[in-house]
Amino acid sequence: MIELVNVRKVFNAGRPAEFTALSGVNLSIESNKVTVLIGPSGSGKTTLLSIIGCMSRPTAGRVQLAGREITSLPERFLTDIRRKTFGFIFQQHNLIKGITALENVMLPAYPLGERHVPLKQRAMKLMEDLHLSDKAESKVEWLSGGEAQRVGIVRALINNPSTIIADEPTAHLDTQLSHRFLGIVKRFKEERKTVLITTHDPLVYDDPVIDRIIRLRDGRLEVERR
Amino acid sequence: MILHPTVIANLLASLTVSGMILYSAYYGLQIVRHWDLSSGSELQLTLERRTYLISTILSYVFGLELLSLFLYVFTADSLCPLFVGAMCAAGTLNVNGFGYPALLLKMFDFFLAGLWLILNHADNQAWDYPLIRKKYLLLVVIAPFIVGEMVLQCAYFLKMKANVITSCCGSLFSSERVEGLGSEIAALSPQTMLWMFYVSVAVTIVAGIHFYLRQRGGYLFSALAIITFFVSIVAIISVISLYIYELPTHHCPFCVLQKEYHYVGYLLYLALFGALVSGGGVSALIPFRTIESLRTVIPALVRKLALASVVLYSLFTATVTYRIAVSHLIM
Repeated sequence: MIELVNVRKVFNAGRPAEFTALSGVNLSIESNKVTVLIGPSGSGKTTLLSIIGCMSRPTAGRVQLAGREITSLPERFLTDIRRKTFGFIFQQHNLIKGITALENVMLPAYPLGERHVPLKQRAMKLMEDLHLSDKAESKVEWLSGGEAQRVGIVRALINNPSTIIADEPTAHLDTQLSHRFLGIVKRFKEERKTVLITTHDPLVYDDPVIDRIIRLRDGRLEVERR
Repeated sequence: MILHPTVIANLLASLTVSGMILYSAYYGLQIVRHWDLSSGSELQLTLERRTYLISTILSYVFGLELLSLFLYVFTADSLCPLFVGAMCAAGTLNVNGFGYPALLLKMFDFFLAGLWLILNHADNQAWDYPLIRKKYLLLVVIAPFIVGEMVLQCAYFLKMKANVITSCCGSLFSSERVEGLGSEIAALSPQTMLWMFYVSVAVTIVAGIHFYLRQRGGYLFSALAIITFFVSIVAIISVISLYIYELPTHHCPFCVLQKEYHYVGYLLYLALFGALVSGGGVSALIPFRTIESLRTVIPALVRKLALASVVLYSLFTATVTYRIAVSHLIM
């Protein structure tokens, strides 16, 4: 369970360009469910996602992860939580060019100090699950959009996180690839992972795999649909 | 005089440290007054972010404070050719009434800065800032001493007059003079002081090893480490210096910092002050070992500190023993 209590996020506080991205957000996100955040651009979806994923801190308010308050944690503890609890899937994939797909997948596991051989075996197994075995040794700049996104998904899974966070995952995918992505989300759900997605795409939020839809506008929660 | 590079370095270091400490103490006071980890208020989250900046600044600033003690003594030593009568730092520090008070305050601040760094290190190991109020309260206590040190140091360097005829170390630390703390220490019996020194170091090292192995007697070890520091300083003046200089009447604690004696003084004082801070740090941390988030951190940290203190006292004693063994002085 992820719980947000009165979360507020202000950028450029006290300056002429001050912008309130989130104001007074109270929200509980259930474990093992697929939750979607929807709303227009600038409504605060990505900001909310980055706060939940410990990538940024709120201006006020608290976030609790499995009963433990995490917003006050010193940075090195947050890094540990980010590494072990969350897997991130980005809109732009954020793969590192110049190295292979397999190396990109293994990269987030390196700081944990796992031995190379079992790590590589695990990475290959995950790539195989998403039909990427033959692309393991390919440089990422040679991959198609769909392949690059699947590499991004495998990378998010390498540390076996309990929560998957995906920011606009289908923004650059055609319908067929979007359906394939939703198939992967279904598998996450079967594996009892918590999935949190931001999207504008009706294909995603109208899919039956989604358990809950949360609408944001101007940094505030609007009506919720289930 | 103030255009001498080392004087400029001292003044800059002192002004930087004081300025940063005052800035940090201001926010430290806010943390002491308003810190409430259970609150999600904007002020609390601002303080949480601010504490990373403050503790990072202070780590470097207190590191500079530790180094500046040696810089100060080095400066006093290097300025001695400019004053009639001065043969080493002892004479230079005596050119006006601010030199020795500034040195004593710097030594005291060295100890406090070391303790703060130890507390800060322990606090940073825990996830819930368990020592945050204590360390910032200590900072608020330290700040006036640091500012006082800056004032004394500025007064010392700015009021130096080249026409002053100062006393040399032979006069300030003479066993034949009857007045002055330096002379009183120099007049102590060398044999008795040598025995006291070795017994004191031996007892401290044994207590330190016992604490390291059994995690018992931490306060006793800490007290012994502090006492041994003072005994060692007295022993340097009273007896150790005689063997290093190979002169039965030369008791100066500063000439050992000079090239003629291979700068051995820096090694001795570094070891001694390091042993003092790490030994003292043990008793500063022990009261917090029952805090839940520090339950595993503190025992490991105090063991390391005790070990560091034991190693440094051993290094100090080994160096002293070597210099005594190779000395041509026969007492």
